[in-house]
Amino acid sequence: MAKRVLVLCGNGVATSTVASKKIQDYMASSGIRCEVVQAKIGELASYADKVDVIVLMALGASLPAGVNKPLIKGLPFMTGIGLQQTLDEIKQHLV
Amino acid sequence: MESIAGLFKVLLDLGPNVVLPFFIFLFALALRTPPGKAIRAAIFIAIALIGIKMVIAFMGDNLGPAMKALSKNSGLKLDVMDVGWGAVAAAIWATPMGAIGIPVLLLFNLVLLYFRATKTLMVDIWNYHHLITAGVLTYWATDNVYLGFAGMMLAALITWLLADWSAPFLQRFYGLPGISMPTLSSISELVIAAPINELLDHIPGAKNIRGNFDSVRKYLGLFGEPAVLAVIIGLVIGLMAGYDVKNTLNLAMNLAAVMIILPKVVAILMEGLMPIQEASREFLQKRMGNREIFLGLDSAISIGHPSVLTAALILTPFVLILAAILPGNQMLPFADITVIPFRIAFVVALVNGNVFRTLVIGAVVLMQVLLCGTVTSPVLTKIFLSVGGKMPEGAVGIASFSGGSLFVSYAIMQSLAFVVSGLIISLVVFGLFLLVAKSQQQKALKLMEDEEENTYAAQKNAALHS
Repeated sequence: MAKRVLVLCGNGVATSTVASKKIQDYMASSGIRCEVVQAKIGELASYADKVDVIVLMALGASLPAGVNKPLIKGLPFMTGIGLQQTLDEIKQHLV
Repeated sequence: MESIAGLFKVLLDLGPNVVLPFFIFLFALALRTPPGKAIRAAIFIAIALIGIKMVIAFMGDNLGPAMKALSKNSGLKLDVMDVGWGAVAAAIWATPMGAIGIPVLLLFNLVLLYFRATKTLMVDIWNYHHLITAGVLTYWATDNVYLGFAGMMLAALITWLLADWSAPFLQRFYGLPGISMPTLSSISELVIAAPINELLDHIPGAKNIRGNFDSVRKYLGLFGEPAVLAVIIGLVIGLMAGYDVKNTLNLAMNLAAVMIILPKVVAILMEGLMPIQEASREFLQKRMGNREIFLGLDSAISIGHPSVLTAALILTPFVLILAAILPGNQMLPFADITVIPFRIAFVVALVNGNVFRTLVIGAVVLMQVLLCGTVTSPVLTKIFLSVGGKMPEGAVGIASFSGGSLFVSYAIMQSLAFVVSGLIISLVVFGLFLLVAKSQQQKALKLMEDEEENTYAAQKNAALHS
């Protein structure tokens, strides 16, 4: 089964769309199958235990108790600075 | 001069589903996007505009009659429908000014940076829609294209200056050096927050209350789920409107569908704008070289602090009750009930995570949102209808927690249209803000030094090491 990335932002509209597209494009070009799920911060608890890695556009959301998933800061998707490293970091959790 | 106004008319005649895609295509090409990508972007913009209209029409068909019944059966005259910021943004992008606004604002930002009037480089093209909205509202309120553009640029100038002003404490609080957040929907409320916070500093007793509402998050956590929230609102409206069980349950499910589908359609708009956003960001960043600037990002990065979420959870039911009892309010909050965190995110930084103060200031901010939203609704409704929106049966107008509900946009629009009440309110509020701005900025920084453990940056570090 393809692994899942959860991209979380304040509204599930703007910044998470940008990050999701970039992750999808990069993983597709690297030949990695994955599913990218976009959600709002309020929906974190419902999704957290069903994904393999979480990318936070809304910095600093805390995970529900008992859930332990890798968290990756999404700032580079907005600034472009350090983007390649962030994409590689996400990739590590998907292979 | 005449020809500019003439061109504007011709563009209007093309129809809203064509104007923006057409401009996005041209603009993408000008930014050297490959033609294939540019065409795709343009088509996606059109898809989003059409999709948003479909969802809003469905919402109107369901919520409109309920509002009418609500007014008949419970006497609550809440006849202005909250269609959500996404629908307002879409309506604004679909006006001719929406399309022209992006390049104008890009250049305006570069000019101001060049003359060192601001340090903020707003690479977040998406949120230009708030600035353009202020312009389009002004245009429709004054019927004057030049005043419209003046309104847009004034909104940009105020936003960037507020971003500069708030950057020191936002950077410190969130641990984000070199960043500012020129997102009008969050920054606008600082104009109100700063004077109230100064007032709270002078009230004995209120001075030292911090508030600890950790348990609220645990018990009200479900409220953070938009689908659950929509169902609850639907049930309450249905019951109060005197619907029978079957109709109440159906209203609740239909509203939940709107709540979940609407952001997904708005996300298509973002997908279409992405090539422009990326190319513009590179264009701007390349031209800035090594000059010291603040990179202006979406305030979405500031959502997620526990105090923001806790306060938002408490304020959500509050705003619904407030809507019912606040004199002068006609807005029935619905689609934008989920954006409360954006309205209070910067307040949390200003008060260094103090939940009590966030709640007090947040409550005043929400009153202002409802009242300004009601007052500016007639103009917004005209714009909505002009781009092909359909007036929901049972409602007299539309509004949101964005657009004219943001204090800065309200102030610009009312002042340029010379509405005396608006002009006076704007002068008083901005006057008070300017009076306390310097001291509030310093106090916020001092507070973060004294109580460093409450900053978001410190909490994040603690979480990493635990």
